[in-house]
Amino acid sequence: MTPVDPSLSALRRCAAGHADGLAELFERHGTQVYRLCFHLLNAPAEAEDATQDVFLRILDKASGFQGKSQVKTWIHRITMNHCLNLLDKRKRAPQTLLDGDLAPAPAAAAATAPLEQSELAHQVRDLIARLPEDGRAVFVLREVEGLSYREIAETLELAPGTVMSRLARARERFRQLAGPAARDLGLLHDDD
Amino acid sequence: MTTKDPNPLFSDDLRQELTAVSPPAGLGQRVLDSARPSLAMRRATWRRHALALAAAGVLGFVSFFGAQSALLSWHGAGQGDQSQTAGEFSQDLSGLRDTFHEYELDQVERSLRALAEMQGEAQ
Repeated sequence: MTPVDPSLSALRRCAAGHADGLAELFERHGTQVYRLCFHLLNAPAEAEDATQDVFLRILDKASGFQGKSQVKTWIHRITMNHCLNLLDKRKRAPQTLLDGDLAPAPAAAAATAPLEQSELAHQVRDLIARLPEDGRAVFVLREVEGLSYREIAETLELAPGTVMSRLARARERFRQLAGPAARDLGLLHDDD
Repeated sequence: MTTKDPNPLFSDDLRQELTAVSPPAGLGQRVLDSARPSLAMRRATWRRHALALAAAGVLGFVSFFGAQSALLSWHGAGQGDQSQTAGEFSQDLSGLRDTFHEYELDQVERSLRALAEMQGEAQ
């Protein structure tokens, strides 16, 4: 017997318009949704708005959830699609975003993300933000969130082979962006 | 489910720092506040659906039992007619039998009387 997805009942309550269902979904998945938005958009204020939008989308689509995937995977998919749409819009209208929003100063970053203390992590996020969008999504899901290839394929609705090739290209690009100083900075392992 | 990457790009410490990002306090409440109109609309829609379902259920119940009752009453009336016809037939039959007996008795009486007259004449 397959275990019941604990988020499923919360999603059903959410679909029926019960605030406690949405609150439970946020409690279970809010941090990861915010983290995905944060790493994909690399702009804390934008990540907050995106998280809010993602949960409103979850609410809108809740009654249409067919249970073909886990609720978590479904929420990841909504998050990734929303962030990729935002990145697409940002690319088409770059003047609407301030430079400082994309790469916040350490003090600003500390104010919006108090748990982030490392300048190194900040540099890595900047490098991730410079990856191509399709590769960035796969890279974040794998290297930051630690999802399996199968989970990434389900989330992004891609073939596993496409996930692997995109990840390989994104890793290679990341190494290039990090430059020769990457190993000295401790960004990469010795065996890389 | 997350899996341990056998060949991760980042060290465990760096990855821990990357994942040590939490949503700002109050974001959950902000999400709930912004969702309230949509939640209220959904509750109203669900209530309407529930009412429509209940009404359809009651209507179906009434229709089903109404139809069944009508069917039974029609069937009962049919059976009643049949028994009435059988009763009437039985009554008619009984009347016919009585009439026949009366005729028979009358005939026997007439025959006896005629026989007595013939005997008297002969004496």
